[in-house]
Amino acid sequence: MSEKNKDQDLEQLLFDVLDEGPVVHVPYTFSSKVTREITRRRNRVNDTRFYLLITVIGIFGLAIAWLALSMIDRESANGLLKVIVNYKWVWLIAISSVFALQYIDQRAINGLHQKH
Amino acid sequence: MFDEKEIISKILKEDLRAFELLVKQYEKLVFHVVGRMVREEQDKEDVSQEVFIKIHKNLRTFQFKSKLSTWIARIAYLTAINYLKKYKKMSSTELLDDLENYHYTRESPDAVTEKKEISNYVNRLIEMMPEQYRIVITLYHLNEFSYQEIEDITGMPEGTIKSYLFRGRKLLKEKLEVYLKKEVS
Repeated sequence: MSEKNKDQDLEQLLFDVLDEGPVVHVPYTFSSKVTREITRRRNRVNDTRFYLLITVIGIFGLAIAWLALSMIDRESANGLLKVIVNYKWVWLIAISSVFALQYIDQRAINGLHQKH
Repeated sequence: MFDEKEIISKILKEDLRAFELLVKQYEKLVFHVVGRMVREEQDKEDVSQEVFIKIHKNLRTFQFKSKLSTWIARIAYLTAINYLKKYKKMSSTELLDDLENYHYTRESPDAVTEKKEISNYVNRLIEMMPEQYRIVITLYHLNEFSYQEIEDITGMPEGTIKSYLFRGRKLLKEKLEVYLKKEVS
């Protein structure tokens, strides 16, 4: 066989191997894993939005309640405002705790997903 | 038959079953692209998963200006590059010198056929190449993308792509020639 033919054969062999490529093992459950992860991330966003909405509604409701009370009884309204201001750290810690718990919960779920 | 437009329109209406079909359709492409760039087995799956999550998130921006496979391959390529940069796993062109000195040793001569052995050898050589060579060879040969499509995916100029492809193939051919001569003797 001539050198030229040998070279062509070698090139053809290389091209055949390159076109075939390595064997790729895609896990059978890969697509369902992906959709599960998308659902989990979507739920996390929805949960955060929900808690934010609850917080905003809570603050708004409290403001309306205070306004209504101030129209009926100015002194009690001032008393209520004083209580809210005095315990402001309690409210802030309570709200922060809800978000922190949710964050920790998601981290824990993440960890479990990675282990599996 | 896989109807891209119909599937995309269903996915945009929050149909996750349709997205699962899209994943099944393109998982091999993504695994090929990511697999050529990322070496660790577990990371390959994690990066591929991240690719599909990005695809799901950004599907609304796909304008049908290119093939869906080109768009997906670009996301896979960029995600793999980001992963390599993040964990500082980028290899340098010095690896080409290592490749020059690489000799394949049979692990179990009876277990594999000759063609499979040659294929394993070539694939090992490709794995030792720098990312640019690996990705260009993979996209061109395995996924049959054109030069223009590879340019769209990687952002490399066409001349550079041709050069990587030429140099990569030349090197592989030389190594394969030596390997086959040894096999015969």
